[in-house]
Amino acid sequence: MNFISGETDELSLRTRLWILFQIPPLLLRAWYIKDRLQSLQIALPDPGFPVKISEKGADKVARWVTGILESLPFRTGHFCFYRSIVLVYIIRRLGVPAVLNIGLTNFGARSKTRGHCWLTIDRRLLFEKVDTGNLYPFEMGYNKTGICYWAGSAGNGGEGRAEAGRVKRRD
Amino acid sequence: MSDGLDGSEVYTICEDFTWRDVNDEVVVLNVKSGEYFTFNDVGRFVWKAISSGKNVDESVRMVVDEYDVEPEKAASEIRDFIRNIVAQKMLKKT
Repeated sequence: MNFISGETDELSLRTRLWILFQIPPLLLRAWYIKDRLQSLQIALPDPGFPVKISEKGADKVARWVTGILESLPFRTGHFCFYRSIVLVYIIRRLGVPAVLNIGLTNFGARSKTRGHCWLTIDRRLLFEKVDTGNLYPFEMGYNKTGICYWAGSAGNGGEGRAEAGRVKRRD
Repeated sequence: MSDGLDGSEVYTICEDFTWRDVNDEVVVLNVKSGEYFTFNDVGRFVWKAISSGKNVDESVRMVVDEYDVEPEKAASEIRDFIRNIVAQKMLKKT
């Protein structure tokens, strides 16, 4: 449905209503894919949809939707993942090619592996509070469907790693 | 060879995978699926040897030269390791 003609910074009432109706199914989608990330190969919507907002409008969407999600009475953990999935679908459906970024760190101890999800538009962070550039400095690769993967510094554990024996270097 | 690995075989990294040195480990990513893998010090050494064009036997020799390990043990474990990552489709024969 075409609620907006041309790029706009403002979110009209109709756009806000459209976004509100997107949130519940997108939360369900995020819940479904959270534990199936590696088998589902997320296919993000093509941002070529005719409805358009500007990048400034995308910022407003991000702030507004984040506020809505933060005010929900239930919390499941992994808030950044739910927020990023909901936002990336909405913003791309509104015509802006937002990129879903996934960063993992502390690989050495798999049980302590940490991760974060965030969005960027043209490499610009979209309403992000975490210092992602510092925590996940290594760009691993960009998936043509709109997902960029990052790595943080490795830990010193050892659990869960693929190994070719445990031996010491010669002196 | 009975274990399915020819010592003279050379492998290359499959197109879906990228890798980076992250501190003391190699982090390998399947860009298509988003799956991450990490290798410890020896795995990293073998990965770099294989990805730079060394064959299996050459990689084993390099590990034996570099690490305090019996050649037979090194050969067995490295072959297991390579079989494992070939099975994960990270490497393919050239």
